[in-house]
Amino acid sequence: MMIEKIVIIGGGQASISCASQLRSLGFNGEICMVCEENYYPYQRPPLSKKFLTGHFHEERLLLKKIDYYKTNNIQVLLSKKATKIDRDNKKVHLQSGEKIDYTKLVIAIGSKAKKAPLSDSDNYSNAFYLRNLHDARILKNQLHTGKKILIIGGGYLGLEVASICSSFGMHTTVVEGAERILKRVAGEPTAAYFREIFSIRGVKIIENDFVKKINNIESEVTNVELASGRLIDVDALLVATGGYPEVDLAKDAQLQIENGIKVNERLETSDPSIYAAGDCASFNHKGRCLRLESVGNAIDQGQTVALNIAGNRTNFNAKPWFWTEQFDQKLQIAGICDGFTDIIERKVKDKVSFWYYKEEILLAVDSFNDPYSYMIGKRLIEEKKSPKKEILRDINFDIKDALSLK
Amino acid sequence: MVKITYIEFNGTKHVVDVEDGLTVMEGARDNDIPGIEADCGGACACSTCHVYVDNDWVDKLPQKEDMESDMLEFAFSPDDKTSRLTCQITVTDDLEGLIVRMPEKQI
Repeated sequence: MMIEKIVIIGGGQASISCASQLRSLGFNGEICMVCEENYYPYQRPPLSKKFLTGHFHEERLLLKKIDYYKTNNIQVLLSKKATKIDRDNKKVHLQSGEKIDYTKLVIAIGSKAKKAPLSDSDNYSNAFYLRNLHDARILKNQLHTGKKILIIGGGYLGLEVASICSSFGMHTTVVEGAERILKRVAGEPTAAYFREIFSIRGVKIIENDFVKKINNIESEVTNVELASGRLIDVDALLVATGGYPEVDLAKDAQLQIENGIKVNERLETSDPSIYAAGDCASFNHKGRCLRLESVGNAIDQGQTVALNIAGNRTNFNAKPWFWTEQFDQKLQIAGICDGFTDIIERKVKDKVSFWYYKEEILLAVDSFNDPYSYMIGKRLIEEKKSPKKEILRDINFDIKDALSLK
Repeated sequence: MVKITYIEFNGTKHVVDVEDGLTVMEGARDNDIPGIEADCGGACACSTCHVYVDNDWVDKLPQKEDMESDMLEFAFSPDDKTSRLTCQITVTDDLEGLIVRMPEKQI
């Protein structure tokens, strides 16, 4: 019998979740991970949190100790870039010229930072991105009291970095092109809550304005002109305008692409011997092609792929959850608020939560320093339970009781 | 290094040395001990690193903060007295000999 060989392109959370789950399931074929970076799989969330603040040293980021891979017979190729998938011969070509055979292939290559408003040819010495450990190491060296930083993009990443820069005593400005911060991921009340916290800490948030021109002296950005005419002096610039899925490899291999690498309920691409998982995978969710850029999703999808490879037919069931840390606030999010029609605010003492409804259906919960509401909201959403909105408006109602409602 | 005993739900015992300053969760992760998932990596955001602390150790550990108590309330089969999230327990010399037991499952 032919020995199975699973090749996983990518060295992130989805990749290691898939590989380790395969071994936990007793899979005894070969496993090979092709990692573009020169690091063993590591955690990404701390890069814009405890790693950037210096509370977490690099070794603590490792998802598995290095000897794990040897003990579990998982081959890890570092600093190797996959350049082509030859589906006819079931081979992955690497930039180094090597060709690796596979029986099943997993594409888990994540997403890339958008460069706009910079262009590919821009190469400023003081303009940064934050997507991987290499970026984080460089950005970390820029955090100095009194320096001026402009962060382009008011999503969770941009705001997390802004809160850290401000805590380091930097003059921090965030500019967001949309009408408000967090437009893509949260409702206005959550944005307003953050706006106030940032304002108290002296972070300047400029919304509905965008970069018109970047002025530089030689390779260094000196100031940035916004469409409104504002001129912002900078010592450093961070571009945090979001990510886009890595689809080039899949596209060149003629796999179906729709908002990402399209997968079915078992996370198979349009070629049943190729799976996709994590940030790059686009799956059907309530009738549209959805991608989730989160660690929880990467873990669940990596594990689901492993189950299917091992022969346990398993459908992927999205249970979206996220968190972000900004100053002393931990925002936990369950569900996806997209398409909401109503938001219910619950304020109990210093705990605040926002409950997103589409008509009578509970879609998502944003909770600030309030894990109680988060955990209940998460469970309600997973169990497809939607408490009546009037009940939630009553702050004397213990929301835990909503779990036992019909 | 501090000696910690992790006991899986099926009774399998792992006695390992964990470096001071890491968390009890990281001790399990770095020694590849199954049963503690820690999806969020230690941010007290997911409640998948739940254990039952051995009775003798309950009072010797630093108190739970509100955040941890609230998360634990919705973990799988929590116990008021002995349940803890291992990402919230930092390893110090005082923890030499700590014993923790895994729940049947995390979520």
